[in-house]
Amino acid sequence: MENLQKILSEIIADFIPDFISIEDISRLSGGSSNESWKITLNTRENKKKIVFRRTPGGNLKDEESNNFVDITDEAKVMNIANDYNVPVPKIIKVINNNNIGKGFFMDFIEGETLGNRIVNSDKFKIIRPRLAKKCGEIIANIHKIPISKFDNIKTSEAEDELLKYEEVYRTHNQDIPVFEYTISWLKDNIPKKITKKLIHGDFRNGNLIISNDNLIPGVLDWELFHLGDPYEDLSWICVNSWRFNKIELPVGGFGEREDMYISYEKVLGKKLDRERLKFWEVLGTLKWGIMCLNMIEIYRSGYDKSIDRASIGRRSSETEIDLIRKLIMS
Amino acid sequence: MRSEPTRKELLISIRSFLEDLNLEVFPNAKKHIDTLKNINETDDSKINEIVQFINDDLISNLTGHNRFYAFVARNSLQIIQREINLINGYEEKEIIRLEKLLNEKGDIKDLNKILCKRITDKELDRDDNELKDHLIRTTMAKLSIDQPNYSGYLKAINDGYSQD
Repeated sequence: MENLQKILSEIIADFIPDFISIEDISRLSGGSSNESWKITLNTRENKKKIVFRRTPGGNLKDEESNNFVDITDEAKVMNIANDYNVPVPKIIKVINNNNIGKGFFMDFIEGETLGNRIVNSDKFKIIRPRLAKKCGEIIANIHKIPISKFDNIKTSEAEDELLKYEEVYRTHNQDIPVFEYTISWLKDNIPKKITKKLIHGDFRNGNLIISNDNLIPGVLDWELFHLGDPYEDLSWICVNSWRFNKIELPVGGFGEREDMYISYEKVLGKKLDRERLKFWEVLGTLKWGIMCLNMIEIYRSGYDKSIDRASIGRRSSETEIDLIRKLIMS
Repeated sequence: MRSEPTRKELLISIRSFLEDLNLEVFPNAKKHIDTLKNINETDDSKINEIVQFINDDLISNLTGHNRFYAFVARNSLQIIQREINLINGYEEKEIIRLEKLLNEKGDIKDLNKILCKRITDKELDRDDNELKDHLIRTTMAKLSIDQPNYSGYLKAINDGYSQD
């Protein structure tokens, strides 16, 4: 940690001219892929908070998964989103440093990101019912970004996403009957292709900064962005794993589906197909289940030996009961 | 239905977490690190001692990310405890259901492999009531070990479903 602080001081001094010292550095909770660190700085004028985001342990080579974009591309898409009225922290500096790895510095936005607190705390009691509508607006604004803004961006639509995750599941060599049942259902229900949009890819409670002053001042964790089916973003936030035990409130455990859909429709001026959303919510649930299996392999590989990487594998079962509820019990 | 990571892997991850603590601040951790080096993964009472240590020494004193890890460690130990007590009974029932559904004999691993193949090949219809009943019961059993407080599981119980 001391070493990290020392190296960071040298790097920060290069792009914050009145920088004096780092007063405090702490790892931010959440985000099981890339690491985020909150840094409090002393400058000649005042104290300033910024965030440093990097690949786990500062590994220069991103071995984790080819699903994730390069962390410097994550910074690029955030810059573009910022230009199109999507609330994101402003990128301050992108780095690729042999000592601490590849990553970027961004503004620190005050607010809450812990899903559990967002759905439970009295502090957010008044604003919670307004968040689903806001999510609809933000997702619509992401989907309004012209795709011509991006070079070499990956495309992944319904069938691509399904086949990609099926392939990952097969590599684990685990026979999980509920996953087979779901894959079979999904293959028989692939929606027809529609106009592709920029997809955040991980738009959910836990990646949103929530604040009483301006509801959602920041959308984080853009590492899964791609071109694809706009229904993906609208469904992922409804996957039960992101409701933090508030199962009765489908949008992130804080809001109603229709509030989100209607505000999305209002911004984009077209009606959503409610049936299409079920496919994506089932696929989203399966994806999270398979991602949990991936975490076990990442732990086994030694790439990240943290205790939460290991234990998250046991959350794969949560998605099995959600899939059963959606496909068999309903 | 046995989930991964295995009990052994979970115990190793807990040991690594304890080894990373500042042992001058938490001297009692040393004893539990030693226990974890040679632990029998079905030793409920030893696992209980580590849960107590995490509750009494770690959760009340740690802050930030390490406190989060302490909660994760406790949760993993509790999964292990539930698995030790429940898995054998569940798997016996699962094998009986699988043998009937598939009309095959074998161990639980082989039977599940056959089940998966028959679902994929549509030799078993997705609307088959016996298949659906089997999936519900097996999944409910799995959740009662892995995540018994999970909302989807509690909702299913509330809707009248069970593993029995």
